[in-house]
Amino acid sequence: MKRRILALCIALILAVSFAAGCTGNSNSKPNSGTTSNSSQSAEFSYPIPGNHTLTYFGKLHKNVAQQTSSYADLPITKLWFEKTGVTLEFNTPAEGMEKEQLNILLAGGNYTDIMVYSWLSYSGGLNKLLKDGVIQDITSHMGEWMPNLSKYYADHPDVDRQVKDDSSRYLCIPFLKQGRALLSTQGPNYRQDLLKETGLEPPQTLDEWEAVFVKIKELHPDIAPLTGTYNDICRFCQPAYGVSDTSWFVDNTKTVRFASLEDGFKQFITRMADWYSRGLIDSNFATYDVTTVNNVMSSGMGFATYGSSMDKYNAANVDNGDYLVVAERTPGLKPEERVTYVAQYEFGSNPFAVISTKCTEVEVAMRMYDWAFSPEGYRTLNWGIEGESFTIHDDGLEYYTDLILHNPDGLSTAQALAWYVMAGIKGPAMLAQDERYMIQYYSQPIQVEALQRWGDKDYEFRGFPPVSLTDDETSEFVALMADIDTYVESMCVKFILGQEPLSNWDNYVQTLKNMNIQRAIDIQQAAVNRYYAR
Amino acid sequence: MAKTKTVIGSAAVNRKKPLWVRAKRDVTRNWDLYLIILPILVFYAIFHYAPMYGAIIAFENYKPARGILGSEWVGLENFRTFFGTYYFWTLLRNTLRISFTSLLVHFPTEILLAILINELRSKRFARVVQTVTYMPHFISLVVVCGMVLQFTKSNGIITKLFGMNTPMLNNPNLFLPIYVVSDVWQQVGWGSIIYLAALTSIDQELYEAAEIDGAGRFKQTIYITLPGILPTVTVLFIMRIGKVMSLGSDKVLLLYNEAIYDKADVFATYVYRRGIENTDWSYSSAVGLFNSVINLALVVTANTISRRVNQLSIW
Amino acid sequence: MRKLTRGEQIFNIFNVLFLFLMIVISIYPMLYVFFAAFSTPSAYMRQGGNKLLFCPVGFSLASFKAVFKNPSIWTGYGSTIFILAVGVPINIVFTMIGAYVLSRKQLRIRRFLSLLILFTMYFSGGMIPIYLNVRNFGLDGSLWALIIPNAINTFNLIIMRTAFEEVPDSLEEAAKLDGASQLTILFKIMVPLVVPTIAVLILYYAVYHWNSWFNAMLFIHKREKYPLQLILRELIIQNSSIFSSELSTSGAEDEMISETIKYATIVVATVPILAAYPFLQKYFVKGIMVGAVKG
Repeated sequence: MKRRILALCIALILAVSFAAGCTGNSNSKPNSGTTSNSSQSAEFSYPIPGNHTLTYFGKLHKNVAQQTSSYADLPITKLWFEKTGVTLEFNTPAEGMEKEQLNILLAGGNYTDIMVYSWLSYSGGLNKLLKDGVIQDITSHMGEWMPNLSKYYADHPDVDRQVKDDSSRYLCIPFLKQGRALLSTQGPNYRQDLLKETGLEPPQTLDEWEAVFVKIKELHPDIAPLTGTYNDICRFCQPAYGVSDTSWFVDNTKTVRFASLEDGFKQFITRMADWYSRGLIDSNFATYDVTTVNNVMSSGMGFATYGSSMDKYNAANVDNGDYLVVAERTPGLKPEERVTYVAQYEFGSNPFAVISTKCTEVEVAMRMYDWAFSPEGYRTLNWGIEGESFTIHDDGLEYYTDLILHNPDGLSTAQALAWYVMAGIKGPAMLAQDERYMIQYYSQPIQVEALQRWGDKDYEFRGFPPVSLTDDETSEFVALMADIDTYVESMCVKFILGQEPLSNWDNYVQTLKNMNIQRAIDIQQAAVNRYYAR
Repeated sequence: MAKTKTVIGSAAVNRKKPLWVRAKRDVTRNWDLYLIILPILVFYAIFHYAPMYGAIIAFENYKPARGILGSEWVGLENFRTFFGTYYFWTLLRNTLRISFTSLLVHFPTEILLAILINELRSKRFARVVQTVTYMPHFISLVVVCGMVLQFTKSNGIITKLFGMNTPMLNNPNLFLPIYVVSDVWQQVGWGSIIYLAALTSIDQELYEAAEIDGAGRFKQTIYITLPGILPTVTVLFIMRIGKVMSLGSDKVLLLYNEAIYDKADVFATYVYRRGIENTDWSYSSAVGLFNSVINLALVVTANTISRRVNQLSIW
Repeated sequence: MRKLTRGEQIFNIFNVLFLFLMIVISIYPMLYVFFAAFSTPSAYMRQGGNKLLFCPVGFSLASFKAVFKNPSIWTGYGSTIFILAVGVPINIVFTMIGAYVLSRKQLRIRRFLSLLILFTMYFSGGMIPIYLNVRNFGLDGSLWALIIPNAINTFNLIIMRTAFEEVPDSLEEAAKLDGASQLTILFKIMVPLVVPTIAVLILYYAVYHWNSWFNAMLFIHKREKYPLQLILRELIIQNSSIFSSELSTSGAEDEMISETIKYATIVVATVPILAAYPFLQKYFVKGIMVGAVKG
């Protein structure tokens, strides 16, 4: 009897102490493996204690790949690891190969903790990844573990809307472009030396451009006045008609529009057909790709085009007399008119990060990436190491040093930047780019002018927003658009070439309706409505 | 009185015995051959047959994260989407046209080149010709197509040769000839190698005997050379027919443009443009399966014809 | 040698002329590639790829420097040579064995086996199942993943089988009477008779391994193990204009290289083949006496 009571007491004591021990560990949340001292009550400061290592997947930026084989070799990466107290193990396929590698990764289930990719091009988008159990929903921890980024969202609600999903969840850590200079990296460019010969002013409207082209054709019959691929021509001339520079746009009443159905687009194509028949557009434009256009411009066979390669043309012609290609803003129809529905968004065009379900140290990952949005992180990742890659001048602003701008070892600015500035190589940290980084980086006046001129457009009504389609919507949409896009592209090029008479325009539009373009528009409209409701 | 069939040789006897007995007899009789081919059969089983279950991706809505067995089954939906495209018949027509024309032009040109080289009296010159003609094969497609585009643009050399002044590749009807001719240009030397090898194994004595009989070189070519390489030619032809639907997108992508989609767009390029190469596996898998079935049907047909006409069969 | 008829003489002349023309149009692209590779990048861009080149535009080794600056290029050669040295013999031996057995008419299930093997040429599981399959065998990450799963190419096997089928049966029977085993027959008697075909297959397999990069992209994860073509492909992409959608701060020749580097990589990849080819060539150009086969 006594023994039994004794045993019972011991058992009770054990049970109670066991229970006490369990509740004593109340800090362990399912996915955070860090010890308790970095969260909740104590004031958080970097570096994160514990010497953590996370795994990373993302492409190796080519400016880095040309010089070394890993992000880990860069001084800026080492500094980032030091400041945050976390190290990354890199799995970085070369640029151009990350798509196949990513799919292998997904198929094999070996997700890394952090995966950086152009997720918006992944069918079904972030929602699909969440549903398939690939990524984690970090919304609930945003306030606690990413205070800097949360503050950024609060200060920039339009960006916040771009990054959230339709249910106002946060599923990723974004890479953001800030400032007009970063949103305007391409535009019309032309041979200034040839323009001078015509005696005309730099053209601001389509009519002025036409006059210039006509004159150029007179003076130089062998040079194509307007050259480029079909897409280049669209981006150059289409916005003037208020129908954006591509097929889809959202007008100022938040209604989705498909360019080919618009009257403005018909006027655009009509004009291009007219120009082509008069020899104002390069007769070979349909057969061109990016490389060929570069060749055409560099060899002086083209007068004007659209793109971002004017540096290449100028560099190839450094000792070629007065040859100089400069930039001009995208023309409108009327003078002083700014083109609408073309400006880009801060989020989405650069690869960005997600945290996978394989990550057991989510707090560590989130805090590490949040540092980039803190004032210190922002400065470091945009400018580099103070005293080495940048200094602060009297005006309180950062300026790059000669190590970057006139590198003693003969590295180009882009190459020198790769060692110090993550804003330039767009990774492995996710951050908000400082506009001045790009303005600084472009030392030549014609480049700075280019940024200003190309940035001269309307920002209230931008291009098509980064909406999310559901998985079912995506399959249906992609199937519809595969045929519709083929049809649109082939017909438009044929209209311009004159192979298809413009009198057939109504048939063209009717065929599009028969191909069920309305359904595609409805799908997009639903997505846009959800977007604005975020 | 019952008629008894005369039994000569094992064949007749085997016909009367059940399958497993025949198989056992075959294996015991030829055990040494079966033994040495065993590793090869294992190889095929492991590396070719084992992954074939992946073909079910064509019947699923495959997502890499869910795995092949975990993805949702959708039956023939992918095929329906595929057949339902507005452009299905155009794509099919173009794919077949380009493939068959290539095939039918490649064969005679490669054989002809091999024979001509073989006829050269100077062996040294023969080797030079042979070495130089295969070189274009090693130039990457991007460069070759770049050259083709240069030659056929509005003021390109070939364009001028034909008295035209618009880019030749804007004309849908010129796509096929340009594609095939540039293909032959690049590949004829390389393709002729196997025929050259086949030519060397024709018994020299046959030629000597023909000489004695007074046959000239032309007759010798018709009656000795061509029949001599016929097995090789037939086998290659049948196998290549089986690649007709699998026309790859690489070269078409480099040469085509929007204005000539009607005659230049093929399945592979349509799928590529859909941007789904690596994100909609199910669809590309369905297309691949469809192609494979057609390819196999073509091969079986060609082989049957060959068996009837030539008594040559690849199985 | 009897005297040639008039017809034959004319034919010979035309033949030579025609083949000479063939040489010219075949060699021109290669020459263009060489000239472009040795051109000054900016000068090459300036002339825009418009003209026929008869010599380099300017002269510069910049493109080659860009290629060889990458330290992985040497490991690239190393990996590829390893794959060739190990892979090609494996390819040939297994192809020969398979082809030989399938050419033996006494096998009752010969047709069935041939069908099984041919079927794999037309049906495949697709990239992902193949990847997972190879990974399950532990080959992921190793160069063996590029050798073993591709040990036999069915197309080549059928070619080889056709060659074996052409050999008269009498030989095999005679050898069997002498007591030879199948392997002896194969290697001592059959092989010498199909040397040209073997030479061609060695060429096919070697060129296949030399040019391949896709499998390496799937299975090899360490840059030090990348074979040559993968390194070169990376190089071209890195230097290409396709991925830059922003202004660059060029002025450096590096930016100009995007065109000429393509040509330099072709030269780098092709020169070894051009150098090695003559050694194989003598085996399949007429001139080797195929020994008369007498009973």
